[in-house]
Amino acid sequence: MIVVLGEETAENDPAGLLCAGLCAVGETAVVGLLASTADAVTEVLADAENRSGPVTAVVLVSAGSATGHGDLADLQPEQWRQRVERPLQRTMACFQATHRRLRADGGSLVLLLPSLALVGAAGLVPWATVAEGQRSLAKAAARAWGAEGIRVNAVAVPAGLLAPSADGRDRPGQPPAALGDTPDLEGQVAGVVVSLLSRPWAGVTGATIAVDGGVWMTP
Amino acid sequence: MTADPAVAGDLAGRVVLVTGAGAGIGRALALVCARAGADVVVAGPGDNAAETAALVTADGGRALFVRTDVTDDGQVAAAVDSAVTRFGGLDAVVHNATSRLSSRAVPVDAIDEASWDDHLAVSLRGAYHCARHGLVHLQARHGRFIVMTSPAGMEGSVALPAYGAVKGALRGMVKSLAVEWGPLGVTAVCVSPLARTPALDQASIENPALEPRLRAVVPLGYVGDPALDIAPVVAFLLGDGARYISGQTIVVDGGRYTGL
Repeated sequence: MIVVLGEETAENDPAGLLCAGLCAVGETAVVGLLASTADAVTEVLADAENRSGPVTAVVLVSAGSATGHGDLADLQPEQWRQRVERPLQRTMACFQATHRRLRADGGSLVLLLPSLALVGAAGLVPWATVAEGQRSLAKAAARAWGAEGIRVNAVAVPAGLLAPSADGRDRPGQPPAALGDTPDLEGQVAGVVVSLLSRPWAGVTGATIAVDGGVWMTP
Repeated sequence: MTADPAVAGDLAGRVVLVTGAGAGIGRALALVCARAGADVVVAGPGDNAAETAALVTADGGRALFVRTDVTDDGQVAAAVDSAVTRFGGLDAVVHNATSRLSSRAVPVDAIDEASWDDHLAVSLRGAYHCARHGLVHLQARHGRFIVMTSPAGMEGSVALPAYGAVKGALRGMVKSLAVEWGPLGVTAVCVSPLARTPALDQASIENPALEPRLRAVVPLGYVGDPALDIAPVVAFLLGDGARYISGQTIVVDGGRYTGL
C-alpha cells in the first residue's frame, strides 16, 4: 500500500491527484498529511496501515514552499521559516517515520519535486532551497538504507503540477517540452511512480528522474 | 598561512564580508582576499574571528571584526551596516559559516530537532540573512554572493546527512538567486571545497580512517589547503575575471567529485 503525504497548504491538492492516479491503475493508495515530527508522521502511517494494509511505499509531495511569490530580499523572516525551514522539518520527520515503518520489510520512499528547482528561477528561491535539500537528504538515506531494502528516489515534475501559481515562474526563453505536452499527475507521473516501485527498478536508488516532458535535461 | 597573492587576482578597492571567518577556510579567505587588496569584514560569533582580523592587520591588510551570529537577523544587518560605514560599500558576501555540529556524525534516524534546527539556522537562515541585507549594497556595486557548499550536498552523506542536506539546499538557493539577481547585476555562486579544516580535523579524530580514505579518492592525492587551494579560487570569483560566472557550483576538490 502506498501512502502519499501532502500538505494542507498545497494549492491544488497534488497529493490527492497523484493518489487518485495511483488508484486508477489498480494500486492501493491513501493520502496522509505531513507533520512536523517523526512521531506524528509515524501515527499517520500507522493509521493508514490500519485502514488499508501494510505500507510498502511512501510518496512525499512537498509543495507548501510554493505558496506565495516574491523576491528573496522581500521575504520576511517568518515567511522564510514557513516556506523553507518548516518544509524541511516536515521532510526530516517524513524520512525518519518512513524508515521506522519500512526497515523491517523494505520498500520505497519517493519525493516529488519541481524540475524547475534543479535549474533555478526568479521567485523560486524558497522552494528550490527546499527541493535541493530534500534531494541531498534522499541521497544520504538511499546510501544508508539500501542494505535494508529501502530505495529512495526523486521524481522531478513541472512545478505547475505541484502548484499552479508556479506556472508563471518559468525561466524566460526556457526550452519547450521536447515531447510537446506537459505530463499530468494522475496519468503519466502516477505511472512513473508505480513503475519506480516495481521490481525492475530494484537497482535504482538515490536517483532523480525527470518527468517534465523533456524541458530541463540537467547534467 | 602562506599564499601567493599573484594567484588571487586584484581585489583592490573591494569590500568583502566573510562569515564564519574565525578559522579554517573562512580565515584563509579573509587573509587571501586582504592580500589581494580587499578590505575585509571578518564576521564571526567568537573571539577567533577577532584574531583573524588581527592577523589580516598584522599582514598589512585592512580588516574590521564584527561579532556576528548569522542566525540573528539583526546581527547580520549590523555587520553589513558596519561594512558600509567603515569601508564605504559592499562588493561581496562570502557565506562560509556552518553549524558547529557539521562534523558530528549522526545518521538520519538519530537527528534530533535541536541539531537539525542548528544546521538550518547557521547555513540556511544565515545565508538568507546575508542575502536579505546584502542585496541593496551588492546591487549598487555589481556585487558577488558566494556560498560555501560541500560535496555532501551533491552526493548525500551517510555520516553527515543534516550537513549534506543544508549544503544541498544552499545550491538550490544559489541557482535561483543567480536567476533572480542577474538582472540586478549581482552574481551568485557556490564553491564546493575539500580542504583541511578544523571540522575535518575533528571528523578525522572521530574517524581515523577518514583522511587516508580521502587521500586515496582524490585524484591529486591530497586534501586541499584552505589558503593555497581554496581561498585563491574564491578570490578569483570575487574579481573582474569572474564577472560572467553565476549560478554555478565550482568544485575545488582535487578532482574527487566529477558528477556535475
